[in-house]
Amino acid sequence: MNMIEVKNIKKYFRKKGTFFRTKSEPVKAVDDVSFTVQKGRTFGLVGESECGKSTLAKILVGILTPDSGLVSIQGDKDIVFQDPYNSLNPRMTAREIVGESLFVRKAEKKEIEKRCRKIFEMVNLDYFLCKDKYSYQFSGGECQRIAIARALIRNPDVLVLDEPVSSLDVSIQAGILNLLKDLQESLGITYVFISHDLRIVEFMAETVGVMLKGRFVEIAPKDEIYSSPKHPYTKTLLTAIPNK
Amino acid sequence: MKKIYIGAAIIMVIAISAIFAPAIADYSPLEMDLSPRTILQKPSMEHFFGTDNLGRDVFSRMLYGARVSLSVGFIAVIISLIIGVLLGGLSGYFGGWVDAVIMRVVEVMYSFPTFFLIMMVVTFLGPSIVNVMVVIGLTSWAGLCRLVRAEFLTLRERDFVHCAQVEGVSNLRVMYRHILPNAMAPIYVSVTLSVGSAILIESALSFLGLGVQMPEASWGNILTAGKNYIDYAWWLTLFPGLAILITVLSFNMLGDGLREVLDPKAERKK
Amino acid sequence: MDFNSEILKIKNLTIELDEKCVVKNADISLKSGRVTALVGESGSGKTLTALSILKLFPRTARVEGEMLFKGRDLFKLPAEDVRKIRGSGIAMVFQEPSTSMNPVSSVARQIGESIRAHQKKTKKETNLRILKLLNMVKLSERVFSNYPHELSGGALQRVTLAMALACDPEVLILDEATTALDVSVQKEILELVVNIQNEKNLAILFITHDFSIVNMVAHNVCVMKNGVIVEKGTKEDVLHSPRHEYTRKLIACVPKFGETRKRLPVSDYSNCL
Repeated sequence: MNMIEVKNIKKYFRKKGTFFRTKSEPVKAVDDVSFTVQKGRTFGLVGESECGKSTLAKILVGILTPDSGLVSIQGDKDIVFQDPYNSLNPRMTAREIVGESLFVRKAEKKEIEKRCRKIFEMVNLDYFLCKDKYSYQFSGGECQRIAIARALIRNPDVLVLDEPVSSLDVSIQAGILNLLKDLQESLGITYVFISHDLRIVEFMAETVGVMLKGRFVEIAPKDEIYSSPKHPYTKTLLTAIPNK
Repeated sequence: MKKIYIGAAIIMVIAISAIFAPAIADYSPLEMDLSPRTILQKPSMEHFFGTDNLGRDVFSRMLYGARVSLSVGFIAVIISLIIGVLLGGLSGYFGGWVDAVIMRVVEVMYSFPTFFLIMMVVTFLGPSIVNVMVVIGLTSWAGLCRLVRAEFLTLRERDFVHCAQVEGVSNLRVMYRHILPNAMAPIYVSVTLSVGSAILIESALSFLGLGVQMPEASWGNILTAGKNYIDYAWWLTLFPGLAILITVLSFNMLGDGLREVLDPKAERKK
Repeated sequence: MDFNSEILKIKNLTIELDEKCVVKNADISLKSGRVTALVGESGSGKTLTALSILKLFPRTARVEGEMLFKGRDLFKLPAEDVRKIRGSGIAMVFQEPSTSMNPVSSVARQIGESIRAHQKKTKKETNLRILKLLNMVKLSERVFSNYPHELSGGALQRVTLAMALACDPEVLILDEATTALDVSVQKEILELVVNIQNEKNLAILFITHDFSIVNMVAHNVCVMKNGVIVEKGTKEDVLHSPRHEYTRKLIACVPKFGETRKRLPVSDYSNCL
């Protein structure tokens, strides 16, 4: 069943005209994008900087609204961003951050506590050591785990991950990628995994979409993309991987 | 760091003197003694700061005047704080027409010569300490509003705010629980500096006869009496002048010190 | 300098910062015409080691050891002599091109600054040299009068490379110089660096965390962990038969192209509190 259905979404940003210049062409951040993702699978989105992947991520979770087109997601969604320190409120403790979404839904204190403990365990963080600490007291990898815990505590059906490991050291990166895979297995979440790193996307996703200037130039199952890419841009990206 | 301590220490001293004025003062600030031996006396053991033209003890009047200055300072600033943070927050968070309207009001406030506005309003409403507090509060929120708006504008684009919004946290809660605590640094600084400014305004108003009315004591109106005797009774201008100077300076030092300590660059260092 | 002769030797470098030892007994040898890769994660001390070559460490740092450039110990030279070597003998390219350049100064001016700092040239000669450098880094002449904000990341990094090469240095340090660039651009810059090195017989110290870059450009490798060099050797030795556990872990934990593993080999979800 299709967990995520995206049909022809467009998002253009108009540059404000200045006094001396007439309004220039709008920036086509997302230009007619469509794709679907099945339940429990991972859709990998590959693109370089300024291709519109972050705008698309924000549209998927509702931070931005598309100018036209349709986004339909069956159930709850959440997002994990690239910068681990920026995703956590510097003035809230780890426990407050993770429990916030339950707190605003008027869950009971005991229930929140219980679920926090469980989710901390799932992301392999010691609850009692971490719960009262602030983001600056954690490492990048730990912050990202807290961000993942925050996103998953409500058991969303869909998780959008925008370059979740790009700011992390490779050894930490590996731990987070493994964690994400494990969580998908045990919780059955559908992922949209965005990265500029083809190797990581290949590792995580079943279907891959290659994005350039706001459009998908190619969407195909992983094996096809990597063994027989059709679009020239995909080929460029593949050959650019240092010594694949 | 030192600035904060020095500023805070002086303010504490003044605040304590103000609170315990009745206990410290030897004379009532209103007690007149028109005998020629008592009026316009130089500072002495009996009258630490001398007496004024109506034989009142200046030191006692200064202590009670401190009450006026500090209470006006705090209350006026609290009023402008509430308005400034509220409007600045709404403006920065929502943008759009809310921002446009509020910013136009701010611009109007900025283009008014505030002091004259205050003078007019106080004359219209009648001079009293309460009127002074309220009017200063109602006319000095614009700067804070802009500061808060700027903070909210940047903070609302931060990832952690987006995360909260995605999770269904209400706008109101995002503003006060997620954004506001991170916007406090410039607010602390602005508030401390504003207290000094409010005290100056009150002193000026009282000096002109538009603030605290005689026979009540205010540093400003001690100066009013003093201006006629400058060449002879120097103590009537020196002490209130110094008091205003030192108080405002201490608040400025506190604010400046806070600004250095709360510098975001320092915050980011682990 | 002859090919493969040692031109820079970092000997027993120890750096202490804030009471902590951040680099300990580092020994690195740079040879002309060879790329030495310095690999490590964040906090390994690799950037500080590179900065110390040009004596650019923070003032509060306590530094011990020797920095031998063509036989002379840079740590013992007076400041003015070190300044002369910066740029003309040893040059550096940093990770973020947009912050390496002055946003209000044109490309020509900034490259020219590097030239004027070390060589006496007339304006005409300087301009000719700038054009030649732009050519060397494969940028069109139009870039001459551009400002940094008008150029893409890749173009900017080429400009910083031109600035570094302006005075014909013998040693070039690249600190994660391609990390902030898009993958496609990264490859071009790496190829450019290799070409220039072959032409000019430069000794290059390439700092990176990415082993695939190491594989592409390096001849020798040093692996650094927590301030200590844990493994050193030729690229083939280190990549194909790594001896130290940390090196093995670093190589293994990156997903490879054509990856068949379902899990990446990390013993646990490292860094639990």
